[in-house]
Amino acid sequence: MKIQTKEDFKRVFDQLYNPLCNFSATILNDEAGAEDVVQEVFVKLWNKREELDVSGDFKSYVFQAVKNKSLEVLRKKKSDLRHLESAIQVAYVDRDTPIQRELDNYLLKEKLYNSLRQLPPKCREIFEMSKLEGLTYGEIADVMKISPKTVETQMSRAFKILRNFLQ
Amino acid sequence: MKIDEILRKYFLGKQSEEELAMLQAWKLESEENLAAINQLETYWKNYENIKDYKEFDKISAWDSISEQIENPVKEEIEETQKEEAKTIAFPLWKVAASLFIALGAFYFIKTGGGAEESISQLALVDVEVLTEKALEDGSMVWFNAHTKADLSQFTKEKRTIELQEGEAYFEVQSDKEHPFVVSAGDFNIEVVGTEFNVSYLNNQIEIFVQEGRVLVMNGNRKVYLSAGDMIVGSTAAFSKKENANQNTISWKTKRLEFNNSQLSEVLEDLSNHFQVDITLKEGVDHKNCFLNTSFSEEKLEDVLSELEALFQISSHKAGNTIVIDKVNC
Repeated sequence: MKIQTKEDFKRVFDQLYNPLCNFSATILNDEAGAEDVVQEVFVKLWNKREELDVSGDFKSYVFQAVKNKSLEVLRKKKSDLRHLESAIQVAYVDRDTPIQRELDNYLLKEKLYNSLRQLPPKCREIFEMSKLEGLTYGEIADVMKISPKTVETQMSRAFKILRNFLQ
Repeated sequence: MKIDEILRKYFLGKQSEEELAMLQAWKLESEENLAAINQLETYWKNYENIKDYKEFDKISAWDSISEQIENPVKEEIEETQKEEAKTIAFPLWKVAASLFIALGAFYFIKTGGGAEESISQLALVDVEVLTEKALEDGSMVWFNAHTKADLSQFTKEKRTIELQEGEAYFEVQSDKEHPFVVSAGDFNIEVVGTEFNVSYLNNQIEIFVQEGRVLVMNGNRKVYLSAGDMIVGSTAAFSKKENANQNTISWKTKRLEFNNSQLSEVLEDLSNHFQVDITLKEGVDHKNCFLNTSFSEEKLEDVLSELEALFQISSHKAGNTIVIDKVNC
């Protein structure tokens, strides 16, 4: 299958843009730089749409393209002493993780991130403190000035909503 | 008790011994149950990994991509590139000479100037020599010799600079909220955080991007440039080329690089860099002369003696021009 219309292309973009930016940002440690990389890759994809098959390993291909471009940008930065500091910060990036794993990992993150939108505001806040920040129910109760029982109720509510959404 | 209720308690860590046993039993009942619980466990465990996950601005991104795929600039390139490139290439010093007349009325900056010279006072720039300046927002500008620019409108919130004549290299501090805009004649160059070079001489524009991405606007036309891209031309006709010559910014980097470059191109870059006119005597056969080397901070004499060793060049000086009489490749 090939990308034929701009609508086809938009669908691919909608699905992959955010995970790709997050992926590139962890390599570059630079959000604006990551957006530049991903947008450039998308423009190139469009120009090459006739040669590309969207089925099969297409998503891995796009992830690989973004990874290559990000590393290229990083190399340029590293060769430049002024950026030494940020280069050191990203030095731990594991370059050898298979791209399929990165793809799965970032699509999972995107899905989980989107699931948070299903939660009512207060419920979301409590859930994020607990699961993302790692606070205990007692700590959350203190911060929010509510009873631990309410925290538990909200977490229970969050679980129901999220489970339903993720299924 | 319903399994949903037990699952919920389990994932919140509130299950009793009895409930845990029931859950284990349920898990073993079927492949589906096992898969469902594993799946849920994966999700639940991974929430802690999305702490730094962000939402990027998809709408702006799509606008920008749309713009680029609908207005490819390629067609223009073939028509105008060659001519435009030639008009641009004549030595800077000729233009620079004529600019001296305009000096006087402007605020002068000299490298290592007086202590009272603060950034905010730098309304009008008119530099005689290469000058490096820090801007209020942390960005850096290098003005090439004989360059005029208006910085009077520049603030942290409204980052605008008018390049009136000459050449400048910008290293822009990233700030998504406040785009950094350089105007030169009818051209507006907009960036967020990047490094690029702009030359504006005799209504001819030349924009070269060293790092990041740049949006060039001219009337209704918009062109995006990425690292290595360049735009040359005027309002009447300009064109984009990819993988442009890095030596464009040798005035700032002090570095000239040649990868399999034709001797004629080499001489052109040297002419621009040293602001002299180096020409090949008519009829000299140089088709097989290719250069692979780099120079950093070498003097013109050193460069010429290297060319002498490589290509057995002999030359003579005629006024401000160096004429190559003979080569042997």
